[in-house]
Amino acid sequence: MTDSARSICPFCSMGCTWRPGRDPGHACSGEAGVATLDYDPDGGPNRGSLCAKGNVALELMTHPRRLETPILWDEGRARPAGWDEAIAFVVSRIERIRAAHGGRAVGILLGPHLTNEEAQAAVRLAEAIGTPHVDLCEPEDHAVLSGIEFSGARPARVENVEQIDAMNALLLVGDLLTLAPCAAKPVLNARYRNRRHTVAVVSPTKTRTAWFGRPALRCEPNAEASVLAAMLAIALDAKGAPAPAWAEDARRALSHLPASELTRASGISVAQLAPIVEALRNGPAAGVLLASEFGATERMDLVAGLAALLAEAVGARFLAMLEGANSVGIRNVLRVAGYPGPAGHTAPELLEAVVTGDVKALLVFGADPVAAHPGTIAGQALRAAELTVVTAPFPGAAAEGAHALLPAAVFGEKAGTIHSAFGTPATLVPAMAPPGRARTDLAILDALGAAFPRRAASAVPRQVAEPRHHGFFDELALFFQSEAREVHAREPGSHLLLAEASSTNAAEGSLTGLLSWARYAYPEPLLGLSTAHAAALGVRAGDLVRVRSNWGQTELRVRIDAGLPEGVVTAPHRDPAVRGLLRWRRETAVRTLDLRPDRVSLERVEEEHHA
Amino acid sequence: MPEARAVTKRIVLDLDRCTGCRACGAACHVGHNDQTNLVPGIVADVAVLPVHCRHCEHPACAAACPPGALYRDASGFVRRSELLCVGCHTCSIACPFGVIPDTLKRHVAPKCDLCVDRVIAGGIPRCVATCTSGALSFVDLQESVGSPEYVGGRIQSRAILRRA
Repeated sequence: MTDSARSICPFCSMGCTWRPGRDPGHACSGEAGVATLDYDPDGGPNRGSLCAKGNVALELMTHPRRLETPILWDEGRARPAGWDEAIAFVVSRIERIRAAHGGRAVGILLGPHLTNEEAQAAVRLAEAIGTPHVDLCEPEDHAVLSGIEFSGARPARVENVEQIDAMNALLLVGDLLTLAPCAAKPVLNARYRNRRHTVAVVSPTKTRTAWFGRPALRCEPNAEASVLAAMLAIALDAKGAPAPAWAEDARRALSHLPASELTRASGISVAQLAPIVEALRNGPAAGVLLASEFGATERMDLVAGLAALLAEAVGARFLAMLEGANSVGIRNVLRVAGYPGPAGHTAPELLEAVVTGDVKALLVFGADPVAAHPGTIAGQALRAAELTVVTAPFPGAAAEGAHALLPAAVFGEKAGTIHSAFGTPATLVPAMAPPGRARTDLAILDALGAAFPRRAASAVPRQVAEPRHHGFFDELALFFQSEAREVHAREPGSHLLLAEASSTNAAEGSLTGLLSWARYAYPEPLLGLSTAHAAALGVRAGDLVRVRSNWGQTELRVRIDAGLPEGVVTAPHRDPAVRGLLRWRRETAVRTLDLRPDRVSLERVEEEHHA
Repeated sequence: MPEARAVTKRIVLDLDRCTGCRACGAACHVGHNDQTNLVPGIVADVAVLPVHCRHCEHPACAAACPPGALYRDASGFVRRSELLCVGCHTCSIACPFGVIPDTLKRHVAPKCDLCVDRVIAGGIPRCVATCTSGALSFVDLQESVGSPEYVGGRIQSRAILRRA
């Protein structure tokens, strides 16, 4: 390790860097160890900053619950094993399934913390096995990336934070500052540099980002897509606007959303939107920054696609901030290789195929589908598979159902490259060796790949996905005509639960679920209620309320949020119980699984008070 | 032994920029071996702000401390001796700003040391280094008082109008 060693924070796609160091007095600080974390003011896009999670990045490496030995589940008993035995076990089981059902009976899921090289190795393994089913397993990012690809938009990308610093018009969709707190520095630099700069925020609730909005467009719940569509219509109709190839398709779809309808559906008028579009068009430096609003809006895929199209139409730069550190890189690798093509399953399709028995073996690298998709068939799929192989740094829900659990490395223990949300590659420098017998996913994938004879590339069934631009506008027109947009309509006795943005997942098995300070920084999931709503229910801040939806129930303590619209309640989606309350829906057009707001009923829970 | 130079720099919070992300508290917690010396100030449902120790010129905590564990050092920092502190909570009651939590960690009261280990080496405190929005700065107090954004205490803001 040299003085210039840098590590990258794995907790979102911002790509923040930090400097690992050695502390001579610390037990972890041996020849291969790191004991201190220091800030890196002139390194990455964060300029030294780290958020509450980034500050505990070191804890991932020294955590007492790290997996250190391969564990095989054989004949009903779990036993520790050596690597040679574990690899041989996995290979023989895959061979058996392949001989009986063919290569298509094997599916591969990749977590967002793998490097580009590891994704490449997974592609090679898939080619060797002969399966077309390889996909990124990160539901938040899957919906956003699929929506942008589906829209066919080609906006200029925000390439670095300096470009955000220099912007004089910004449109923020979603709660960027909660998802990626380190983006606050450049965004606020742009906002405060000049009093006349536009920093418009579209959000139904008063998020951390909306606080800084100038103006903050507080639309009705689920109306983000309508607001963005109206802005797109204004941009396309503006004088002298360049006409993109898709303009006619767009106009046809947008004709289903007249101005009067927009105001009714979103509570925002065209008069409010026009100056923002004008500011974005006139630049000279404008940007549209999107943060995943997972569970906070209907159709995240359409919102993401519309934001990208709007950026292209007004000539603004575009940035989609994602949750997974390398979701962008992994998706790129898979897309170039043609995975998952039309013949291959996407992550949610693959989980369904395992449950129906079409796919027999599930190889999960660095992901926990159960933690990512609680309340869905993910858990059932892992139990249903004839063979489940999981590589993970920590034990989690996925690990419990695995026939082979292989201990993996985290960022800071492996070399490789990743792509941040800015699309720029960054190099990971290992600061210490993985604990015990844990190995990097690259080593595991290479060992597995070596056991299968390589096939000639032409022998591999591969179909590159066709671009489906036009379908996006057909889907949009359907959405405007459908009742999906009307879910915000008031219904007596039930309330719409919107998920609050969060870049942590508290589920067992997710990286952030184990960190001490992350739990302190985001103490307890609280149910946001408006003042009037709390009074009607007879509860005060801190009281316990039972929340029921069609999919589950949980008990949450109340937080009063005076600004919430009538009939709307909020809770953070980082809590697995809250995710279990929300609705998961398969979107056939983009072949992804999306978390949606849903209706809940509330009931006060009487607690026993002890004197 | 050479006379320690007084450090006149202090932590100033820009109210306009703080997003309430609590990264400063996390940095403090990690940097001080799980002892959080930085108290989050929770303003109803409006904001979460860091409330820093001001390292007072005449510290009430030090005057109240029965075993004399709190003292103002040559560089002007109010510090706590880990060996002398008996965890009696007197300092947390005496502090007019409420910046000493009344929960003990390792049997002593958590107390901001202005990251003296970093500052004497020419660095900046951890909370300032990690601040995600640029709200915290480590500046010479005299300069800060002269700036148009200065509100009072350790606070600056453009949005809050100063009283004439």
